Parts: sequence; C-alpha cells; structure tokens
Amino acid sequence: MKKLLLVGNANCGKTTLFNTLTNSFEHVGNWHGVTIAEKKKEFVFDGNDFLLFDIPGIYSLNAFSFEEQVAIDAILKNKEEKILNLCDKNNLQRNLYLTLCLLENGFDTTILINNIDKKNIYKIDTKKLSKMLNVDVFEIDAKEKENLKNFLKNTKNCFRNAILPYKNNDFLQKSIKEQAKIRYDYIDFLIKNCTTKTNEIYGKSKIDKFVLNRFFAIPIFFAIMILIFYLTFFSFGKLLSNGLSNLLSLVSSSVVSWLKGGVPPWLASFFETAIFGGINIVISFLPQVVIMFLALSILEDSGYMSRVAFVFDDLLCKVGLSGKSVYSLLMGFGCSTTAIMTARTMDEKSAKIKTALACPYMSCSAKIPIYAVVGGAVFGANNLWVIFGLYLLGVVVSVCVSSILNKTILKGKKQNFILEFPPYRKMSAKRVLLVLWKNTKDFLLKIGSVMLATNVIVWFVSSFSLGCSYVGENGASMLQSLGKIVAPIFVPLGFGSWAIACSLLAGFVAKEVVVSSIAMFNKINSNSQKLISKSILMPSSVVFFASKASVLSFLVFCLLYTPCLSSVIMLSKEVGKKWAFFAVLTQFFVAYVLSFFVYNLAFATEVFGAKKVFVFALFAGVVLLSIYIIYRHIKNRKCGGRCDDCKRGCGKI
Amino acid sequence: MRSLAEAKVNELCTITDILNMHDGADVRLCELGMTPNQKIRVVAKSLFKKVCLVEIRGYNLSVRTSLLKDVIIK
Repeated sequence: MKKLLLVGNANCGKTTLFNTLTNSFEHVGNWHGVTIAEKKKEFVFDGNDFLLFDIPGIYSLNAFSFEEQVAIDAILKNKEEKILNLCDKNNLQRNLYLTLCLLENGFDTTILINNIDKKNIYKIDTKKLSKMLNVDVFEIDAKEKENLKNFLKNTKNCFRNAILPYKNNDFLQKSIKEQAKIRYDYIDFLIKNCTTKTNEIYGKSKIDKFVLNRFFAIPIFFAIMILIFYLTFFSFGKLLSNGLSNLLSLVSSSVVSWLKGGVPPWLASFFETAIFGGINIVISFLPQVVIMFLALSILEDSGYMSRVAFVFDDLLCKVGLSGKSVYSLLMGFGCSTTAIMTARTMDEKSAKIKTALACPYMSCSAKIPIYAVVGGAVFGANNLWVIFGLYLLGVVVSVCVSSILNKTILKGKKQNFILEFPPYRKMSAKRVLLVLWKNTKDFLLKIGSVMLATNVIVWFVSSFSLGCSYVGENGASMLQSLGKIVAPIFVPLGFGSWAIACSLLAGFVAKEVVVSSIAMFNKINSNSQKLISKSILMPSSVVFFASKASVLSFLVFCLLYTPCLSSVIMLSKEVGKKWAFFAVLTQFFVAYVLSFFVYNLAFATEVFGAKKVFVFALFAGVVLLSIYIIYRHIKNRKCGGRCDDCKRGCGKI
Repeated sequence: MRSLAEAKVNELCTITDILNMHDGADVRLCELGMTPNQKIRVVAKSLFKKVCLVEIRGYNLSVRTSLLKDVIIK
C-alpha cells in the first residue's frame, strides 16, 4: 500500500482534498488551524491501494505551535513516502516557500496547485514550473474528484532530484533569515517566468473597511451574535422546536396510553418518565442546537473568525490570551469538548492551558434546553435578554479567570500573534446539508447513548428504595436519600431541594440531563416544554423554584458549574489530569460564589425594589474602588529609602 | 530609520531589516515573506492599535504591533 502525505500551508484545502479522495466528512473551515491532529484513511484508485495522511498546516519545517509540531513529526516519521504538496493557487508566492523547504530536504514531492476560490490571481504554466523545479506539478480543484485522476496516475513516477540553483555550501552556512530571503528571491524568479499575476490581493475585501473599522468592529460583532441568539432561541429556532415538540408529544402520549394497559407499573413508569418524559424533551431542542452549530459554521466558513481574532487581540492580550483564542472561545458556544481541543493552535503552553480552561465557562449548546425551559418559565418574552446576559456572563467570567491565572499560577511569556487573513467565502448548499446532518447525528447519538444510560440510572435510583423495592411516585427512593445529604449545600443559592441537587449531579455526565431529570422528577410524561416550565413554578412539584431570584441563580450556576464528563476527559488529555481536576474544582467554586451573589442581589431587588439596590450597589462600588486606589497608591509609592539596603526589590529608586 | 509599527494606515513602505525577536518570531515573519527590500503596506490597525493588518506578497497578515517595532522600514 502506497502512503501519501498531504502537506501544505494552513487553509489551502488539504482536508477538502482528503475528504474528496477518501469520501470522508472531516471538519473543514475557512480558518487557520482547523486540522489539529493527524488523520489517515485508505482509498482505492485504479486497482491500487493508497493510505492518505492529512496533517495540520505548516509554513516551513520549523514548528511555532503544537499543531505544527504534530505535522512536522508526521513528515519526518514518513520521510521515505510520497508528499503531495498542496499550494493555494491564489497565494502562490507564500505557498511555494514550503515547497522549496521540502525539496531542499530531499522529500519525494509532487506539487498540487489548488484553485480553491476559482479566482485567477495567478495564471500558471505548470509544465514550465515542473521543468524548472524538476518535479511533477498539477493544477487541481480539491473539490472535484474527476480532475484528481491525473496526479493519482503519476504517483508511481520515480523520484527525481529537484533543481534548486541557489542550494550550495554558501547557502547552507547562512542564517535562517538569510536563507528565507534567498528562497523568496528564487520564488520571485519562478513566478516571473512561469506565471502572470493580476494586482488583486488574496483575502482583501471591501467589506473589511466596515468589519475591521476601529470603532464599528466590536458593535458589528455583538450585532451578529444577538442575531444568532434571536434566530436560535426565538424566531426560527423556537418555531421549529415547538413543531417538533408537538409531534413528539402526539407520538409519546399514544405509545404511553397503549403501554399502560398491558405491562407492570414499574415498566410503564420507566417508559413514561425515563424515555418519554426525559429524552423527548431534549430531542425537541434539536432544531435550536443545530441552528446554533450552523450559525457558528457559517461564521467559520465565511472567514469572519480571523477578523474577530484581529479585533479582539487588543483586549485578550491583556489577560494572557491572544486573538487566536477567540476561535476556541466561540467554538465553546457549540461544544466545550471540541473547543478545548482547538486550544492546540496556541503558540505557547501557558496560553494553551489558559484557553483550554476558559472554554468550559462559555455557554455550550447543551445548556440551551435549561435556559429555554427554566428561564422561559419566569422571564417569558424577556428571556432573550436573560439568555444573552448569560452568554455574556460566560465570556466575562472566562476572560476574568484567564486574567487571574495569568497574574498568578500561569504567568506566561508574551504571545506572538501572527495570523493570515483568508478570503471571504460563501458556504455551499452541500456544506450546509453536511453541517445539519452531522450535528443532528451527533446530537441524537449523544441522546441515544450517554443521555439514555444516565436517564435509566436516574430513573432507577429515583424509583427504587435502598432495599431495591419499587417505591413509585411518593416513596423514599435512593436518590431522595442522597439528594437530602447534598441539598443543604445549595440552600444559600436559593434552590436547596433534593431534586434540584440531584438534577445538577446528573448534569455532570451531560448538561442536557439537567432538564430531562427535572421532567422525570416532576413526572412530566409529555415532552411539552410549556408543561415543564409550568410545573417548576407549582409549589406541589418536586422541582420547584420559589422566586425569580432562585431561577436566575440556578441558571447562573448551570452556566458556570463543573464541566461535563467528556470535557473533563478532553481537558485531562490536552492539558493533563492536574489541570482537569483544577478546572472541576475552580468551576464549582466560581459558579457557587457568583450564584450566591446573583441570588442575593436579585432577592434584595425583589424585596427592597430596584432603585434602593442600585443606590446601595453604587455606594459599595465607590467604596471598593476607593480601597483599590489607596492600595495601588501604597503599593506603587516611592519609599524614599536606598535600594542597597531595601529588601522590597521594587526598583523604584 | 523607523519601524513598521510607526507607519500610517495605507502607507507603502520597504523593509530594510528585521531585528531579532523573542521566541524566533523574526524567523516566522521572514518565512511568511517579510524579507529585506520587500514592499509592505499597513492596511488597518485595531481599536487600541495593538495589532496591525499588513499587505505583503499579495496577501494580508495580522501581526501584533509589538513585533512590528523590530521591523525596520524606509
């Protein structure tokens, strides 16, 4: 079996080519560093077996980040194999730099010039380029399988030594910077002889005048995010979610009524509560979750993410992160586990740890059902602003935590933010369908595996006593006994009932389980969101919230508390077990403190009125600010003594 | 002699030298095309001017201004 390695700059279409050749659906995007790990898959062409490797993008054979090191290690491990060097046709000058690095080191290289944007910034004479370098050169479109046959037929060509006139003893003794200059001079020579170039700039767009404007950039970003939340939680998403909810309700009620006649009560209870009451409610949020993922994919594919990184690097560098962290943080709106993995693109270890630890504070899509059901119960139409506030709080807390880590235990070196701007691209209809299909499949698989198993366990421990006898609806179950031990911890946060404590415990496995557990405990055998929302306001219910303050506190706690099990596993894999354990403890602590604060503030507002609380908060703010200013003044004052005798080491005099 | 960090938006300059930077960032900038005698244009600056978008060798690159202080231009 012949091994083929796809090597090229970031965002030149390597994974697209990998998907086309191997009929795979690996994640692609218009952003630097979408591929962060090595992937391989077999394919057959013309009766020959191939093993194709897709590796992260690199610019040279010097690694400047963790994912670049992965790529270079893969190349060195397979140095005898064929390299397919993919070059973006519209950014040829920079892409050929890597080509020369590969050829200098004697790798068996075939150059594939990919016309990814179907633009013609360069017109290339591939035969002339092939002759000048003495390697095979093919012009391809990575999305079209038909035009890939040409180079696949030639992969058995014998290895030829490349012609590199500048490579002599004098060149090898020069510094890396001088070598770079010589390589680019030779690339200019190649371009002059083998191509004709227009004046168009790769990645330049008129839209950038507004999107990158110093004063409009941040408001434009917030406007886009509000639009995404509106489409997800209200207009379009809500409509689809309600439709699906009604449909599932119809199906489940008919099945339950049919079951009740012929099976034992415990089995009927199992289907009624664990399956139809718990799982169905989460399935009804499928449209909202998928819309959120689709919106993030549109942002990613459009090339806007790089612009956001540019805009926010200003602010993030102050907390020890860089603009590149924006991608991981925004991915956290979809799934924390994926977001933690993307922290690999960071150049420096402490920045990678800070980014990975910040991701689980972002509000992931698994929390959507909690906001919609619990928040919707008391805030009604104002829930959009509550949800937006929660998302914003997640961002603020993640930035604050990074800042604290940066000043204490994770003091890192200054980050070097260097990022290429990709061109704006439209998302194809095929890609939209793929994103919809992949996220629907992932969501349903998660429900069918992790959630179903957890719900069965929760149903079992909530329906059977410690002596393993079925206790039905009002008996003292195992879970009730456990919940009563844990519940007092949450009393200061305003939701100290055993059932809420148990739903939060179950939520550690997957956050979706929180809502399905509430439905189960309240014996909601329909998947109507409205019914569950109503039930949590009824004092007779097992899960009951006494006031708006306790609901708000619960939402804040759900937003911030301990990451789900898969995120903890991913954290442990990416940054180590010690940091994963640290994340579990700190997130619980942060969630507890903030929920306590929110509950008491909201409770005071309910009792004393908003005006009095505002005045008091203003007064407290002024007092705290004054204390801080005095503290800074004392810390920074010049002592007036002699540095020789002083042990403070301030260096002020 | 002045640095690229001091260049104004839309100003077209020529790189004369790249000084040594921490963590080999100077090498990365050279590999990305910032070599002596190369034309470069500042396209945009961020809100607090801590990041610059530059146009070089036919594509756009965003770089932190602290690094551009060591890119000498004329």
